[in-house]
Amino acid sequence: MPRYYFNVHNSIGLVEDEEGRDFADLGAARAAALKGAREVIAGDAAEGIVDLRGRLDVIDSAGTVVLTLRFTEAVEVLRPDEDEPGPANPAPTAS
Amino acid sequence: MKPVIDTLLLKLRARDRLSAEEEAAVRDAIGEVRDIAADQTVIRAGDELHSSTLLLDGLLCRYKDLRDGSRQIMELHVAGDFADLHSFTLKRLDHNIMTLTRCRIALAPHAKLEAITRDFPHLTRLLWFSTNLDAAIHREWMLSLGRRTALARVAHFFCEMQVRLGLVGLAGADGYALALTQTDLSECLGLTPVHVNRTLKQLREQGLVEFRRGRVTIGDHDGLRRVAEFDPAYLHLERRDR
Repeated sequence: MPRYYFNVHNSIGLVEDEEGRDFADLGAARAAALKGAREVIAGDAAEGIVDLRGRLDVIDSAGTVVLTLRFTEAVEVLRPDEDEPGPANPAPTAS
Repeated sequence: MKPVIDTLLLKLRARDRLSAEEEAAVRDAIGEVRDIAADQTVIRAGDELHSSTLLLDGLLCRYKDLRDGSRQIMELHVAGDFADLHSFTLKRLDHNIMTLTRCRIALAPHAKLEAITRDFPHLTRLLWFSTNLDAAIHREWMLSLGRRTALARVAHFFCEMQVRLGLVGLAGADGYALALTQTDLSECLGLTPVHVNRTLKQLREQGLVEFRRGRVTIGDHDGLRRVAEFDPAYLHLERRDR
């Protein structure tokens, strides 16, 4: 099974994967990359920030980047229409 | 040759006294030794069991899988732990037990354990304590998996392993060997390997702990415990009558 390394570039800089993991094929590696990127985005969202500027590079054992997953590709962002009325009960502001 | 069970004795003696007769009874209960390669499932859920497994060397884990292959490790076992003392009364486990590294194990036939329950009530209570301790560790992991942030969760894991390995002489104040892969770690912590890597980087940059190539290096012991909200009370470290 091929080994792939997942290097993440985002707000905290480069998180280098020194160990890598074995996958059946590149498709399986992409699925794992997607899951990982989504979890990182969700973790940030829980802290109050959605930062989609990051990317995850999948690198093969020869050191070649075989796939790049931008965080913007990992999630679908739905926004309210500009002319849509706001929420009926606005979120309380911190006092 | 009888198996070397010093780590089990260290673990028990950290919590209570053990008489010479009790030590002899424990030694007598433990028989066949096996060496097993890494990444082997040694006990499968549902198997009828007639002996309990004592870990002499290496790392074992208890785990369950979902149908899609997602795995949750519920507890890591270090040298001196029984991986399935609870199989003595359960007869069949509801989870699997796997080697994470090359392991040396010894088998304690249930018939021998039954003899201990008949003839050595205090030793029986100490073995009962061991299964209660496993339950306490499970509760702490539930708190981590359900409520701790990724940062605190990883920090807590390293604090726990330092104490547990330290009890059997396998960890020092500044670190210890822990031959886990990032996949193993992610399956213990309920995080993806990507998230684990990123969290390890944050812990490293804060100077708290570094995990590289199977070694945990603790940079700031108190700081790590503070981030983790680690209180070793759940490991029941008092030496007292049980």
